[in-house]
Amino acid sequence: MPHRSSVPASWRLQENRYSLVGTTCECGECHMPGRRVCECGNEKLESLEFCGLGEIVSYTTIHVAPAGFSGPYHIALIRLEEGPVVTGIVTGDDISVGKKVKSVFRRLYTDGQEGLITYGFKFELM
Amino acid sequence: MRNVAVVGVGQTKFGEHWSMSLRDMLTEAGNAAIADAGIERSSIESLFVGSMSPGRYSGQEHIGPLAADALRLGNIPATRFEGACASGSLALRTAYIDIASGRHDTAIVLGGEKMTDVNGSEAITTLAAAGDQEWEASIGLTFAGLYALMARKHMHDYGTTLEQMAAVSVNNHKNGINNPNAQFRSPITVEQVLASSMVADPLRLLDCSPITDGSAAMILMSEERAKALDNPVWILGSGQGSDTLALHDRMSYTEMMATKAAAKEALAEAGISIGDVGALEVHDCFSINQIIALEDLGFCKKGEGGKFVEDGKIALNGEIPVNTTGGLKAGGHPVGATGVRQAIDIVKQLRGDSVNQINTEKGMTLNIGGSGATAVVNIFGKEME
Repeated sequence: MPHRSSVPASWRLQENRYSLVGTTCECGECHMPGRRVCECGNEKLESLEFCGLGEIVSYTTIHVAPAGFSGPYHIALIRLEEGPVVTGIVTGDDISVGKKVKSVFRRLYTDGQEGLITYGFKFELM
Repeated sequence: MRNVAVVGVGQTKFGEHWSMSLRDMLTEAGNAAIADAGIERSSIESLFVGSMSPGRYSGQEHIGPLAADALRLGNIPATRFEGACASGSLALRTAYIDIASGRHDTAIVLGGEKMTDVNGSEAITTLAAAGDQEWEASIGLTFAGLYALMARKHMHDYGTTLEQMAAVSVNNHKNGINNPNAQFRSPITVEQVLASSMVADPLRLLDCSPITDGSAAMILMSEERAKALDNPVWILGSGQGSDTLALHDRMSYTEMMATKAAAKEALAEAGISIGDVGALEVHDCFSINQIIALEDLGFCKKGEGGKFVEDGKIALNGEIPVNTTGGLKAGGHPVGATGVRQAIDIVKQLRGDSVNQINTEKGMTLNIGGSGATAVVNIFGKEME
């Protein structure tokens, strides 16, 4: 999957994926993933590193996985402490709506034996 | 804006067509629609084709001229439209605007997808590209997974049950039995749905529409030309809405604002209320989506869609018959063709030649792309506005 494992694409996103960096606006809104325009219309946004703590809003366990992945694994919508909701893989088994999680740095995807290894955030049940 | 009629419809059977290419299927559906309308090819002035990903499924982009070439339509403008699973309705809506505006008098609308030339996991990867590649698909979130997140939230917030979701698939399979174009024509039970293999918890195999090859087509005509033809069905209104590409950026995970925007626009144009709609085709790519659609369109309150289905209100003899020929679940879901196929089934209900005929004056289609980032609503009637 070239779109998923291309070196430039991974490089562009590394700060966001490695350190949970999004954006924040003077209006008080913050965004993860980061944006170039705030809902208020402001284009001058600052980087913001999120603390990585959050709560599960909803979750699923993927059994039939796309090419390059093997199930089962949990994916959840996580409301970060700062407000935005992100999508992330959750490690651990005792998953349910409302549980607290914290972000951890993990391997996300390996493109075969010789391809790029993509790293980023996952979430761990607390 | 002028009145626009549907004067001919046609489709391939939906299923696995190992002997047919995308070109073959578009041609078969297009020929059927031209024959049904009883018009000359040379009278067609523009072509609109919906397809989600011919580039990934068939290695073929640029299918506007491909279709015009295969159908021998000469040098007319021919364009492809893409809105993930709503591509077909988007092509239809654009053709409607084209004729209504006065630019052209006769257009052909096509939708098609050839999904079985790639293996299952590649098909799933391609469908997942309708979500956010950088933040959803790239971590292994599938399309079923996106709807599973909505299903779990709906269950959590409103007490919707697995049995209620299963009842959606049961009803769609029941309606598909009489449909010779349907991929699956066998009845299923709630127990069978609940015992089928897990795809993305809580959604099981029989909650999910299948991977399908197929094409559907229709001919649209201006009022001036259509008046000379038999049994035209009129397009009364059309609406389109968008929402954030990624599910996580939405205000709600159990409500689609794109659907609400599209329905509002279409109903206002038609000058009717939702209660006037007597036949409904909704986008049951996954069982939960049919429940969410019924709520968002206003047939029941938010959170009550599961009970609405379980109580039989969507049956052929119910309050609002939904997906009368099997929907996406039993009928099949060749992504780009689906919106056009939905419209064909409403047109047939209004012409009086449906395989499961009900008595109605007006019908509506709701076609959804991605996890709700695009929604298109089209409304049809026996009589002109």
